[in-house]
Amino acid sequence: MPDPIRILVVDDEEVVLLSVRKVFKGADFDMDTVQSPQLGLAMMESRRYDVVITDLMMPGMNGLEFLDKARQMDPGVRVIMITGYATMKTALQSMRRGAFDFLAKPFTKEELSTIVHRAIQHGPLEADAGSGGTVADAADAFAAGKVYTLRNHSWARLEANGMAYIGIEQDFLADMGEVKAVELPEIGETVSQGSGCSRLTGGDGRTYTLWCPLSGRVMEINPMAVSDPRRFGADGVDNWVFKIDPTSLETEIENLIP
Amino acid sequence: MKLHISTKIVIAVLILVTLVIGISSSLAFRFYRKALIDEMTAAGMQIAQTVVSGIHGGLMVNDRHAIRELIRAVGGQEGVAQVRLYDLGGEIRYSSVSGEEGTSFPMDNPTCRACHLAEGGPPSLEPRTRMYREKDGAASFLSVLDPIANEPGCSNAACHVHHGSRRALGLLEVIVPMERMERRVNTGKLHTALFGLASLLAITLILIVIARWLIITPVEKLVRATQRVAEGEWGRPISGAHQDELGDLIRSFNKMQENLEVSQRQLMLSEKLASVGKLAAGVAHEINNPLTGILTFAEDLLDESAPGDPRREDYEVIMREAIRCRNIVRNLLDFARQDELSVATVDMNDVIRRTVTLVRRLAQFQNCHIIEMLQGTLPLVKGDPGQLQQVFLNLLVNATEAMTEGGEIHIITRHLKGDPLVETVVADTGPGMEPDQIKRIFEPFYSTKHGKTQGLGLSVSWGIIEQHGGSMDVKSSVGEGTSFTVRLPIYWGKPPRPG
Repeated sequence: MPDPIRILVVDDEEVVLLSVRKVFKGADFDMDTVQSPQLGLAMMESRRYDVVITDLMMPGMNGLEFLDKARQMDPGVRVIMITGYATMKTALQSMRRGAFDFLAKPFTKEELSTIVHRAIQHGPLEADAGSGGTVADAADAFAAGKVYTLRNHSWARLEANGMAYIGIEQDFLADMGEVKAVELPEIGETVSQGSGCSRLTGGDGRTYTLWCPLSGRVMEINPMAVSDPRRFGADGVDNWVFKIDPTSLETEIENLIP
Repeated sequence: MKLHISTKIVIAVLILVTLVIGISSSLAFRFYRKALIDEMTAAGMQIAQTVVSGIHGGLMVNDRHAIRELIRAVGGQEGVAQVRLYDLGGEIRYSSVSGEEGTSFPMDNPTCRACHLAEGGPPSLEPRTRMYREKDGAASFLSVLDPIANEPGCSNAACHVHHGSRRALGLLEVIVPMERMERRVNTGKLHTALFGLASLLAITLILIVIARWLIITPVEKLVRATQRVAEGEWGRPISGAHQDELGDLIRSFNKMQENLEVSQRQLMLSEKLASVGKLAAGVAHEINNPLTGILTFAEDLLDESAPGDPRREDYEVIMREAIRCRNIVRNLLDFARQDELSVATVDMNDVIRRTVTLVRRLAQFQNCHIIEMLQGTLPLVKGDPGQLQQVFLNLLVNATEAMTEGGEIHIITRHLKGDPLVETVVADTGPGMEPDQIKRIFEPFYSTKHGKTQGLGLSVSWGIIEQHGGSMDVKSSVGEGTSFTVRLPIYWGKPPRPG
């Protein structure tokens, strides 16, 4: 029997801790829950965790600070940020600062377990992920062909006409293994940055939700994405899934990694 | 004491009218009385001359009886009080009143003095008049004094009674009572006074009616309306404005009230939106944690239950409804979140064309005929093209949802020369709305779609347009469709960096 997966949960709300406990019960998981970020860091001093799940807004220390300190202590730890839906922007910032993923409250058991599952499946974290990087030249930022990524999830490639192609990050596909089905938004629908824009069914039967890198209106769908999802992982395939007309490109691009 | 402005005007007019009537009637009476006196004087003189010529013969022959008879006859006539004949010594030689004859008057009595003392030299032989009042003051009289001139017939007569050097031989006095004339004058005064009073009354009444119609009523309406507005009661325009300055005031008051009402409604709406947004964000934040518990626990119960467990359905209901709550909360938060505008210079025609291109592909627009009426060249506006597109998409989707049987959607862009705003109209041929629906259409959580949506679409659109410094309003009547008008300020400055 493999070692149980060690999970640390940091949240000042007891009900959230109880909820996470419900998601990861059984012998596969070894879980500690604490109600303050300071206690969380203290726990990390004494034990090594595979996954740390933390609230973004906590009294005493905010989630971003906690993320930085946790990654300093253990660069390989996968930190998953639990956020209120209203603090999406902070969640995206945490992604630039090296969080593995984020999830908006309230979440379902399946949503959280899928993300943790991906975190465990994920290969070694890139060492420089925390640096983020900034857009050096403002004029260059909107150049056609420029690609911005929402780490571990999706990318957006800007077009000369102001449109953007949205695609799935290789890491995301690698984590989920085989892609069995892809569920996409409809033409005309609005998608928003950091929200689910596509649901992919993996070989294990899990449903993986893809966060959208930019807000906008869906203008076009890649028919291949729906008809032949298996080709998605293949090298050399331009695996964009849909094209959007971005609504808040200028402000949102700052939340992405160039 | 507070007096009505109209009361003051009426009082001032009345004082003026009273003065005018008073002065003019008093002048008129002075002339009237003088004319009557002139007439009486003329009549008195006539009588005096008649008497003088009547007694001429008697005097010539010294027929005392005939003279006395004539004087008595004339003195007894109506309109004549007394007739006297004086000699040069001031003695009454003949009188219509018996017993008076032989009485002498000293030279300084008023009758003699009228001619003798008033003028220095010898008095003229012209007849004179004198008015006087009896000592007890009851009656007044006019006395006509006619000197009887010396004639050659008198001095040359055989009797040689009169010396030829004398100019006058005596004096005839005819006294006429002025009582009737005074009575006529007084009656006239009374009538004039009564007439004046009646006219004053009539003028007062007419003035009051006119003042009420032209001043009091409109002013009272204005006062009441301003009080209503001050107490926060809006909306009732003042009716019945005349074509005058007060009418203009009423019309501009109505206009002001209308504008105030619109801006107050907009202010209230934006405050409402802001407070609903804050409340929603607060509630959503607080509710997220318990909802997390409900969701995961219900899901866990479902996972743990045996396949045939009848409670599985219940757990599914809990999960489904909790997820519904989550969606409501997320919609609320989307609504509460005021996205920063990513501002660019925008051609509204482009926004409309892009939106229309998008919606034409949607199934629900298959029944709708979209007619674009876009003005050739429009000034640019400053705005977030994505968010503006969101607004028009929202309006178009609403229009198709209203027109279940299909219909036309007209989209008009226009800019009038000199207008600082660009106007975009989206009009449908749907069933239209009732007035109370129109009033609430932009309110958050107000929906005419019977619970199918949360009623945030138009609120969000309204908020976006407001954030752009523009305005959005709606016109609709049942059976005639609905039209939304969006006005956005023109961008005057230099365009921002190319994006």
